[in-house]
Amino acid sequence: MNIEVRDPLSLLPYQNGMVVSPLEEGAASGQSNLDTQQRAIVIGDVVPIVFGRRVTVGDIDIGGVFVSPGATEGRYENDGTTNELTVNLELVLSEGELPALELRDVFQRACRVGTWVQTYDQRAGSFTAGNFITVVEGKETWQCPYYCGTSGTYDNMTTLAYENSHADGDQTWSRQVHCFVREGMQVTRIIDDTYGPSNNLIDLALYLIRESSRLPEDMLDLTAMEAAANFTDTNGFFYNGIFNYSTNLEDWLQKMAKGFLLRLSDNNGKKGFRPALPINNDNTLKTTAVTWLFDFTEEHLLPDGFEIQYIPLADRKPITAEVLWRQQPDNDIGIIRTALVGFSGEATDGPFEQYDLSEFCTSEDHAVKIGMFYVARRKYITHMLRIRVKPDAYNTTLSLGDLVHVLLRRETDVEQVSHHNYLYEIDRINKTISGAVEFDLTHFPINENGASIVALAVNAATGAGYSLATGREDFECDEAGRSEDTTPLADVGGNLPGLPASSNFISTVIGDVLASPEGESNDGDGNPPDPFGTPPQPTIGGASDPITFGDELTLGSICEGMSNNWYVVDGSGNVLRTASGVDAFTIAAQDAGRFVYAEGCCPDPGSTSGVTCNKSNTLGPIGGDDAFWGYRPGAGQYEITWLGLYTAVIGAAAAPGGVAIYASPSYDGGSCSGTSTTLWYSYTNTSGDVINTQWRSGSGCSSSTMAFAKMYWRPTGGAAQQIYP
Amino acid sequence: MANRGQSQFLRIFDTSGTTLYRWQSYYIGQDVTLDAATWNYQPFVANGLIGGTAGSDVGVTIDIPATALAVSVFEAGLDNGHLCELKIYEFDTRLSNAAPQAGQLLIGRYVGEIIEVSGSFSLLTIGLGSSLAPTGAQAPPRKFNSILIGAPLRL
Repeated sequence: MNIEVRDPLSLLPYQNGMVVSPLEEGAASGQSNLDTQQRAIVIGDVVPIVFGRRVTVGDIDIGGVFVSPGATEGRYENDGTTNELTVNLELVLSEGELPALELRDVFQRACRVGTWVQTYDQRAGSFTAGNFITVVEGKETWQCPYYCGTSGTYDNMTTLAYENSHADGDQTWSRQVHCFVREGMQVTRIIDDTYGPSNNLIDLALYLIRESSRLPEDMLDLTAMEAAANFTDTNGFFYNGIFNYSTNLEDWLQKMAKGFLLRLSDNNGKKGFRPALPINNDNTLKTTAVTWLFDFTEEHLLPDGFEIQYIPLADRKPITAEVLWRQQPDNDIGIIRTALVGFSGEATDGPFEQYDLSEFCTSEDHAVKIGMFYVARRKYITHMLRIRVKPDAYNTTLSLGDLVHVLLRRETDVEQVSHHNYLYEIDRINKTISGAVEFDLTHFPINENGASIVALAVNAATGAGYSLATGREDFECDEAGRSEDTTPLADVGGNLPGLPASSNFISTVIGDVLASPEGESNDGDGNPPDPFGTPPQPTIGGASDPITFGDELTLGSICEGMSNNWYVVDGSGNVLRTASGVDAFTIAAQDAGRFVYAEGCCPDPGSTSGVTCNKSNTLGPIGGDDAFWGYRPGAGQYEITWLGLYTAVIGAAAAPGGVAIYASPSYDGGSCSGTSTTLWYSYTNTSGDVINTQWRSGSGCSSSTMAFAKMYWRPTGGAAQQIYP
Repeated sequence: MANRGQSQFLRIFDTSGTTLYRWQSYYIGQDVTLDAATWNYQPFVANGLIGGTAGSDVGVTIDIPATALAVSVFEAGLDNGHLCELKIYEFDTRLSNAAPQAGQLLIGRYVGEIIEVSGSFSLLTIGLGSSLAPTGAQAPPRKFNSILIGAPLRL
């Protein structure tokens, strides 16, 4: 049996990005501190991905990423006379290959200083790391690091080498270096299929999905991805940021999608993005009347097929969105800015909700449109709907993101009929084996012209369009001409000899994980016995060895109130004598050659008989083996293996192989006196000698009444054969 | 609805696209031809969410008798990251039930990795979905290690 569990409808607004209230607010994530101690990379840090591309939109340049790279190696050496300190640093800029930076874009603190080179897939520069500080008389000794780093392969990384000199006493030598990256990591862009830098979120998402999770290509909805890439590109939603914190990829994709008016979706098992608002064929927002693909009416709904969930009040109250973004001037260090977005007359004094897009957003329009999207959705989208409908034509036509119309009559008034009459966007589709289809729908508000109100609001949202002054007026710390110097950094580098040996442990595959245990035995012979798996067995006491006539048997107790039943049986288990409810049982002469066992019956309220009986061990043959066999053939002779119940009279039975066996008068009960238990028989052994013998002698029966049921014998070492009947 | 039949076709393939098995569960005990390929009968039932927003647990489950073949196929599938493509067709049962109809409609299609196998001794439940783990850090993909940067500078 399968139990189908669906997400509650109340979760849908949170899952589809309808409600995106930030869990915490704080300083802008895109901020970089300038005048700080140089950062050193630590083993285990993530290799950052610098992703972005500075482009001109209209007359505004948008994009670029301000990066504060960490150092892996350093060289510190001073002049023996002037004490001037020369610092070399090896820096990792980004994973992947970046185009060469320009000289105007490299800084130490806020100053364009130093000598720089850049390379890819190897160590940049050629200096040897180390502390070569010497004491210069009359000068203060430089306190530089002693652990200056070894070197590595810098595989698939863009690296920088920086060198600068500092006069005696200049304490800025240890300050952080920075780079303004106009063109980030190069990928094959999905829009133009060209290798180069990209500012499209979809390119970064595809890179991460492919590199981080190895999701098979069959599970990527590249058509939807390309459509989403065109949408963000057309509307100026660009990613310019540094991805340098470790996170869950799916979480990151969802978080990013919300900042680009996209939704991450799983369509037919394939992962893709789709625009969160209706668009035209040219990928612009659709602000005209929308069309829907199907009208759902009462005719389609299954019983109990309507479930509605209104957005809670807390998520509907008007807010003013405070959107953080990054203004990036062309010749200066970027600054964080805010844009307040709301509807006139609503929440002017708060509440304010902060949406930090400064990690990637460098356009005011982008920031304002995202802010308006959040504000407008809160204001206009009122509810979610889940309908369960019978299969119909829409089975093949409707897909995620499509618009549908739900029109249902509500007849609660004798004279007036009202309607549930709304447009919805499909958020989930569940097709069941029974044929019923379940749609999770999000209210799609439209105006009197049939246009999306949210799309209208977002489309109309534009930034103020002015640049905020950075507050910096003094550029004198720059080296002369650097601020305009667009010379690309030289490609200089090469790995040092003596790179660290691999300390990886890569094991060969050991054996076949699907192999079965040797022998495939399933008989459980080796298992320990279950102490409660078998009933308790009472033990017979008072028997001689071997058990013989006159023995008074008792049964060991296994429970309180136990009663005993005694049974005398022949060799095949046929009961010949019983005694019930007897504590002690005496063996009689007539029991010779037979066997005896008992049952210890314990009170059991759960049993229909009120007791549960447990069988004891079995003793016998009574009187010893001789009593049972009467005659024990010697080696090479025939052996009678079993003598059964006497029910028929025979004079003699022909034995196989010419060996004869004869029975003479013997009887147990019946018309005889009941006391004689004599069986006479003879046989011919393998030497041809006729052997007459008796099993047990007695008297009182004639030959005509001698009877036995079955007689078996077997050649010594051979199989038993039934010789009578 | 009474005339509406629904058949399910399951293709199991590896990441290079090579088809390993083609199964169908509607035409009992027979092999049928669809899309110029032969689909063997294998009793199974598929259910689940085939489309939704991220985080809404989109995925399909397949219940299949735990035959020796099924156990080996899905053990290997889970081991090697094989994929399944499920196609659901609708057709008019009045026209034919003997073989896939030319005019049948594809009403659902789902591609997923074999991400979960569970069940009883006699029944396997196969979970198809995305191996994009809902928890744990996967991005960015690379971390600094000793091979890449040696013993780094300590400030």
